[in-house]
Amino acid sequence: MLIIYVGMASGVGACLRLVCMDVFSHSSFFSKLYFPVVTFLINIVGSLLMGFIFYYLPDTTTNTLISVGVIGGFTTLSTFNDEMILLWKYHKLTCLLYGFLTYLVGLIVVLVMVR
Amino acid sequence: MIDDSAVYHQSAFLLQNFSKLTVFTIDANTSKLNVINAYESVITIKRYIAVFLFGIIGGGARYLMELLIVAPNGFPFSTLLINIIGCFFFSIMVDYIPKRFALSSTVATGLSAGLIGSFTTFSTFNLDAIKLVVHHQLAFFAIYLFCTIFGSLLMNLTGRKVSRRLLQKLEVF
Repeated sequence: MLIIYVGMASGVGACLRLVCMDVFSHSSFFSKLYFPVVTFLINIVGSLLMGFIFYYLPDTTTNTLISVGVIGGFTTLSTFNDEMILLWKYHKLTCLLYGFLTYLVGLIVVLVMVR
Repeated sequence: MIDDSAVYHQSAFLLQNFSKLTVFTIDANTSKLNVINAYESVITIKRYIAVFLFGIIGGGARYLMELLIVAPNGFPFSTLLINIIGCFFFSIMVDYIPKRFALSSTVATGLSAGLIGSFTTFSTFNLDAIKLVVHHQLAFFAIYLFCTIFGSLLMNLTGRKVSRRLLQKLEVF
């Protein structure tokens, strides 16, 4: 039963991700940039919240639903990789910067939460 | 000022496309024709529903895999497998499936951003990696990082190649 609940929470997370992407694609400033700011921010904020919930909040069912469900569905590795490969064709430097920054900042952000 | 005939042609054209859902207003100050596209917002809502429904399947499958696959030595094998498989199928879902089965963009978004997007996860990857660092399993950390970074890129490229092959085969027959 918990699997279905986690799945529904992931659906909510995926919808939140789509909201972020829609909001940023409407903004004239961010849609001009080559750097995919939306996916970057989504992944970093998601990782930060994941670390916070794991290290600071008690291990309850609700927290599992939020961390594994909502945040797990909110962050995405597949879109990130797809964007990297698209960028590699036209902006190799931006691609390398994007990959490096996402992995580095993502790890640092969780490391900060460790106690 | 507006040329009436132009407006008529334009609205007739729009009406053909969007049937009853389009609302026309004329701005009094700039005399510009504004089209409030109700059709587009209906599409947007449909997209959200599709992403939500497919997201349930993707997230449920991820949780199921994390419960089933547990490596005895603490290596986060399930997350690695989830991300690698997900990156392969993302390319298939973007390149192959919508063209093969002539899917609408709504369902295609649901499959790629919903199903695979919520199946793969970046936050759990980071948490697992930092857990390995905290437990002083630095060799595992390096292997995990290397496998995820290059494995997912490789699988994405493989997925693109496979879907191109499959589409070529489709054109031959």
